[in-house]
Amino acid sequence: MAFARTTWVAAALLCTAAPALHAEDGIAADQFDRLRELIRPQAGESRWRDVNWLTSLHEARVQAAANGKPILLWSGGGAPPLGGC
Amino acid sequence: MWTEEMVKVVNEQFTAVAVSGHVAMNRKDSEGDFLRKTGIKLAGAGGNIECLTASGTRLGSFYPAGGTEHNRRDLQGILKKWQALPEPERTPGGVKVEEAGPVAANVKEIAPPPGALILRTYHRLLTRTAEGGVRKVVVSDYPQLTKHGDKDIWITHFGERWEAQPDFMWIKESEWNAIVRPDPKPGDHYPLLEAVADRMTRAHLIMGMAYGECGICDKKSVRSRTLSLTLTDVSAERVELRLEGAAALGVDYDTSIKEDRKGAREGKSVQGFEPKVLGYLSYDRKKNAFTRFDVVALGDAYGTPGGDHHFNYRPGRYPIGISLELVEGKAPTERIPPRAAVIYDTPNPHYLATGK
Repeated sequence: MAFARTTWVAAALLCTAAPALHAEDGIAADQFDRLRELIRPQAGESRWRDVNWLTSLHEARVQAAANGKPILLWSGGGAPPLGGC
Repeated sequence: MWTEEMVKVVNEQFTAVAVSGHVAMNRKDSEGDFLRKTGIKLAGAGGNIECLTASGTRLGSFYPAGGTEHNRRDLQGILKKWQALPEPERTPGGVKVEEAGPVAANVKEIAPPPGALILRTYHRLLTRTAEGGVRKVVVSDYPQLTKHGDKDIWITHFGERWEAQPDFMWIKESEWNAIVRPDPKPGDHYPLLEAVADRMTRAHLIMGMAYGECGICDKKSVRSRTLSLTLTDVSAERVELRLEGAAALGVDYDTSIKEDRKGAREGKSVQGFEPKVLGYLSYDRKKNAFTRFDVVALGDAYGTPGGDHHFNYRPGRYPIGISLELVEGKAPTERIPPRAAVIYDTPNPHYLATGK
């Protein structure tokens, strides 16, 4: 199976603009990293990513009961809201 | 809703779970039975945030679009109800949860295929700068929104729209195994496997996902597509590949200008999107595995976004960026189905049948 680099690169420097990235042209190799980091979530965005989500309600019940906590249940459309919904 | 403060409270004081509302409400198994008995109604599009106990007592809901103060009040009310429950409900180990039982068939079927390669994708709306580059959008890029006057309301209600929209792409084991051809040599150049190229284009290089809306577009909506691989380095251990190409989806720009409703509430959305693609893939020959699958796409979109997104209309062309990257796929949060792979609570058979 495949494995990935999942590092959340600090992208705060990219919050404003990525100069010289032209949508109408092909993507130049030297623009690749900069464009990629502009597109991906950046510091302060989508903070829901920092929540320790489960995706099974049953598993959540088991953990909530064991730890004496209430359950926060977030629902979305065709897929859980952690993906497209 | 998802302020730093709220994330901290949720992580410390709750057990958090994210589900598909359609799947959760309709699943024919003990998990579905439990949820239905609580009386909670989970929506599909739009979603909900509900709080409950492990035994099924409903504690209340959040109004995500209500803003920070509203959410603080929601939270206080929920925790007050929690504290008022009898102690055995709140004590660790006080509630006994029954065995899960067999999982409903439709839930099993929307899991990744065995051995699938999983890519995490992000779509982001962008704006071209005066210097010719691109940047993140701001509300003033949207004339339909600014004319409503109170920008903050729109930002609060739809704030996440300006952020990267997440999704996943699945590539079956038989497909990724065929991406690198036998006897690879540096300089080899050939088209990306049809099933993968077709799925990537019709389900993932789509403008709707930048608005959080998606699906799989029909083949006739693809005006052109060229996605090809070049082997840039080959050794006994590794094969390095560059993915390049472009696609044109929907109508051409002139047709869009002529026929689109241009942000009006009524009328047809006549759109197009013309992304260019560049990617770098690494294949480990010893492990028989891709270790890198980084792809970006950048291109111009035009026309009125579909459905209720007409108020996000922007005249002319505007850029959308898309990124794809490999994930391990072991965590449940990385095994969420691609949005285009699911129709309400069942698999979309067209998703994994691309290329045929």
